[in-house]
Amino acid sequence: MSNPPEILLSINEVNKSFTNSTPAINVISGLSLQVREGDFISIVGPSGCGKSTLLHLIAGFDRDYSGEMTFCGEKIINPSTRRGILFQSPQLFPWLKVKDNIAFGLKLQHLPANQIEMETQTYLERVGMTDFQDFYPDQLSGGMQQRIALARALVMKPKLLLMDEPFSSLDYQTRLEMHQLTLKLWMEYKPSILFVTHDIEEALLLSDKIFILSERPASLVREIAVPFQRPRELSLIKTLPFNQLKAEILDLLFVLKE
Amino acid sequence: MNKPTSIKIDAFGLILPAIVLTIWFVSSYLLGVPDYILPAPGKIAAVLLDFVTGNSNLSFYSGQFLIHSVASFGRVIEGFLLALLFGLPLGLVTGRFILAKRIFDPLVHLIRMVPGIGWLPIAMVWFGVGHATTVFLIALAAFFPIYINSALGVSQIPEKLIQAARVLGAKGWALFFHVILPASAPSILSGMRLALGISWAYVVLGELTGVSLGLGAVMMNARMLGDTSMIIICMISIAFWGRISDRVLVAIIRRLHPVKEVSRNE
Ligand SMILES: Nc1ncnc2c1ncn2[C@@H]1O[C@H](COP(=O)(O)OP(=O)(O)O)[C@@H](O)[C@H]1O
Ligand SMILES: [Mg+2]
Repeated sequence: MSNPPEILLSINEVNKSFTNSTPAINVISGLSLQVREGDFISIVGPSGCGKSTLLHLIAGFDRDYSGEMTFCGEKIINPSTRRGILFQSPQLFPWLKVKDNIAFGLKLQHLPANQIEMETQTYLERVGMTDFQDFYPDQLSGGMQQRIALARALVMKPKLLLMDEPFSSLDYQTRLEMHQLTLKLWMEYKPSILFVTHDIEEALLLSDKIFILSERPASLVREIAVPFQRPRELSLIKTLPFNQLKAEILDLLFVLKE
Repeated sequence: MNKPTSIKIDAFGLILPAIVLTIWFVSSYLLGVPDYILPAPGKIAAVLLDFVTGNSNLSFYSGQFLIHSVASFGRVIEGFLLALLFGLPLGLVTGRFILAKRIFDPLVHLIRMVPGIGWLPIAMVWFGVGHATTVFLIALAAFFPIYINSALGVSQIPEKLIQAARVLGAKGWALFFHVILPASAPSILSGMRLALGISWAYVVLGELTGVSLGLGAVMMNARMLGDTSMIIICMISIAFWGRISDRVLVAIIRRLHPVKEVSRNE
């Protein structure tokens, strides 16, 4: 047996409250979890339990928390290009063409122009958007925009990609395509992924591990290993083990709601 | 891609102007309304042509269209640029930083309570009659829409768009120039267009107080000379330049950067 991969993200007894509202809302309480290099982990939990808040803290948007949160052994205090994020809405820059959206982060790093061009073309190709590189985002469908957002995040070679219900506003067909694309890119570049979703099938199809969070204030109630072999076919969702695991998770969430 | 704004004419929009024009013709040529109240369309057209080209010496101002236009235009640009110089940075800062808003906003809105025209007498005391007063009035009046719209544009940028930029490495001035400024561009542009329109209103006001050159000055003199055609022609000229300058402003901004609304979907 080889050693388990290095710990990338370590969260220890983290608490987060919003004190700007009265009464103050306690959103995360005593949460601990770890993400290793190359992990594909889904996070599920009752809606409003604090999943987005957790991703915000990990991204480094908000320093107002207690507890310990380290990434590559360093305390998280600011956003970093090593931790990418994908939201439910693509958040592309509407005044930039598709290719310039993808090149945005590279340009800020002042890389040589030909390297930027090369990387941009590579990732355009990886997400199948080469033909649309000179379009503006408002000329593209939601699914295409999300592909570009994915390319824009991955071109930075983040070690961790935070995904906050990234496909939940897409239609079913498009969502399946995005799953395939996400898995393909994950296999190629192996960033660790923290994937928030309320769709348990999505979590089971995509990830190696599922973290189940409690009702607000969120803490980790269960870590479930997803045993299915990769590559996973869509037909997996019709199998008994899949549905047993799904039922188990639903039960857990349902109990949490009580 | 930005569609070139093609000029489409809606037939329904032409109905009322056609009626107004008909009434004008009827009152001048059939009802005999005198020229000193409302000059006939033909007369206006002839004097206007002469004002521009100067080849038939129909009025005291024959051929002077360009010098007066240039004088007014200069004041508009001067006042507008001053308003932009103060309004844009201040608006952007108050839109982004709540502390700046708390410091500047109350004063700005206090000053705004005095209508622009109310500044005329004190401006004349400070700057004398003429050019400086006019530029001051324009700058003051044009400041508010620029300030307010820039602040609004910045404050309405979705936090997630900023966050998306921050994980891509944008911070400080880079965040400002590459995200905050372009994201608020539509709102800034509409503030600037409002301000430019207001600038043309205030250039007339300032020039009425007594300058030798400028469309407002011509209007005031024409009124004293009882030359109603010239008054109306100056009104038309101001409308014309107002429209032209608006198109030019829009073209310049679009040239600098594509102006696109940021999506506010969650
Ligand atoms: N900026 C904020 N200020 C106050 N309360 C907030 C803020 N952001 C989120 N909350 C509250 O925190 C709780 C968790 O929100 P969130 O993390 O978005 O939940 P979800 O698990 O659905 O992503 C919710 O009750 C929400 O109302
Ligand atoms: Mg959420």
